[in-house]
Amino acid sequence: MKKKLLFIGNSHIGSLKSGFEYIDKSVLTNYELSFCGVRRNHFYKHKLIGDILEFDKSVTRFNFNLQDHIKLYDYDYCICVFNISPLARLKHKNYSFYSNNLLKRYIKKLYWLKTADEDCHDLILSIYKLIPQKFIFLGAPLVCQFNKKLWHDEAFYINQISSIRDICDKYFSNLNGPKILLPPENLLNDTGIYTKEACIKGAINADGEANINPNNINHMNPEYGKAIILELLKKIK
Amino acid sequence: MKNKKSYYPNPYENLSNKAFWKSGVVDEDPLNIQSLYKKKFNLDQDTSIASAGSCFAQHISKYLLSNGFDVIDKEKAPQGLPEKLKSSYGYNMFSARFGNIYSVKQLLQLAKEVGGLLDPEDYIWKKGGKFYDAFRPSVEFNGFNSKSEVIEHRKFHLLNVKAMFEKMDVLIFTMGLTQTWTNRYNQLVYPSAPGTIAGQFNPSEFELVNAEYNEILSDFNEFTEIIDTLRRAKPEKCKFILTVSPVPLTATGLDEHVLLSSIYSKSVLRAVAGKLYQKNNIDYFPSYEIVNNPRLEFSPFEENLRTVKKSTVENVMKHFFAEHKPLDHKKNKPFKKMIEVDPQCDDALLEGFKNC
Repeated sequence: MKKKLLFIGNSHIGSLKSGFEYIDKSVLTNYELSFCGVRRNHFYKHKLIGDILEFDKSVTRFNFNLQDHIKLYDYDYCICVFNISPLARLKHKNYSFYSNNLLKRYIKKLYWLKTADEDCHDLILSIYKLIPQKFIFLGAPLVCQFNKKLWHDEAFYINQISSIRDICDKYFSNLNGPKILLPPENLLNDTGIYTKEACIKGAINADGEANINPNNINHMNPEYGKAIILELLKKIK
Repeated sequence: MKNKKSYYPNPYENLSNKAFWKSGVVDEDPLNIQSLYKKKFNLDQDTSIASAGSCFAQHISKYLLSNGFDVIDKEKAPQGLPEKLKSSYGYNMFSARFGNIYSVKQLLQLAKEVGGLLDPEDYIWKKGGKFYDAFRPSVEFNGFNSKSEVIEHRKFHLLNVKAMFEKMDVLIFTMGLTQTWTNRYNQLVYPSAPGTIAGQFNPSEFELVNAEYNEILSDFNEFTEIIDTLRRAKPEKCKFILTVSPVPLTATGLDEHVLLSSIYSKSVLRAVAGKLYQKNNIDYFPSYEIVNNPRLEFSPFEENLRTVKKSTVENVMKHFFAEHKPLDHKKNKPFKKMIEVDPQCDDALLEGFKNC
């Protein structure tokens, strides 16, 4: 029986959907993938009623292999895609140097999800609470803008990246914590948190179409999406 | 030659109301005491303020921050962490994550370490397989996972304290205790007794030292010299606002009644603050006096007679802001009150060690 994977989230769904098209179908024989992308932060306008994710009629969405509403219990995995992750927190100007114990708690309780957009945070948290074992959070990549030195000593910075990766890896294979997939290191530049410039060329929008605005460097290309999906399949195998 | 007889009034005749107990205290509104505090210098939007001290100091820094002052915070909690947890991990309490600094000796020790004058050993304590920074054991309440993690985090902390010292224009310091647990061999001092939050008590290694007036005064002067050196790039000398914590001792380590120890401790600290106040760059804010004013018609403390009531803290800060006008409020508008998390007081733990 095929494993059913549902990808929901913002415009970063686009590169995943396009990347999926590029994957050799023999790799996907055991999987059935569905996608639902919503531009910007309009995702929170959806409502979770029981295990049904009801679409808000006013929001333009880009669906693939989906009906008008989503019954979350029907899926083996629900993959939430947003442009935030525990790793991305390091770019914040107030980020300090945190202990392993604090990071574990911070990651496990999804405190890092809290942004100015509380509504979006609440909806993602509700989905996680409903289906904790099936929930996977996929932090969308950060574009390469990182030149400012924020740290007194690079060793502290490297230490934090390695601690966050280690904690996320452990929780992914552990039933007691949330599954958070961080972008593989080979897709990131020397900063360890920003995506390689090569992943931006030919970026894709939420609808899976090529991004024609050259100034829009916030999205990734199909090669990136393909690499992420393959990494995900490897993890849940 | 015959002297012309002059008339001199007696020295009390022309004094103002504040000089007399009846008019200054008995007939005065304890929530709005006139002429109790006159600032020595201004705090404006360009003044970088640092705060440190005993747990009562946490109130002062929070109130200053919420009333528009530039309060330094060099070690911030990760975004999204709940308020209660921020305090539990030693964030949002002071200008860096040093936890409570109860004694002047502890403050001096930190400055020496930052200034490279002290490279302490034996500051890692163990408890239940976890490791603690003995100079600030409560900031990581579950402990660190390894000794190397304690060392790395102390290094990071010291870099931030150095940056704080270099940046600050004014340090608000609340003196809390004279009794300090000290290592007999190297004279290192700790904010909590070994064996309470972490570590193990051994009387041949640790002793309780009850600091005296001259020692505390000399320690504070040495501290300001180190600060001057660290801040030599700044054109002006650092200013200080001293307060004495009104919170009584939870327990005394001396063989005497806790009431005697508590009054002794506060009296000595108050006397030191009074002496230091004679310097132009040192101000004294009388939070201790406002809380312990016998004219108050209600207890300033909660039922445990230690924790200062929120309304009392508001009263203290009202007096402060009468002189240092809140920066983000229009004239004649009241200062912003705080809905705050209870301060973290390590010494409150001692209550749990009493044999009933």
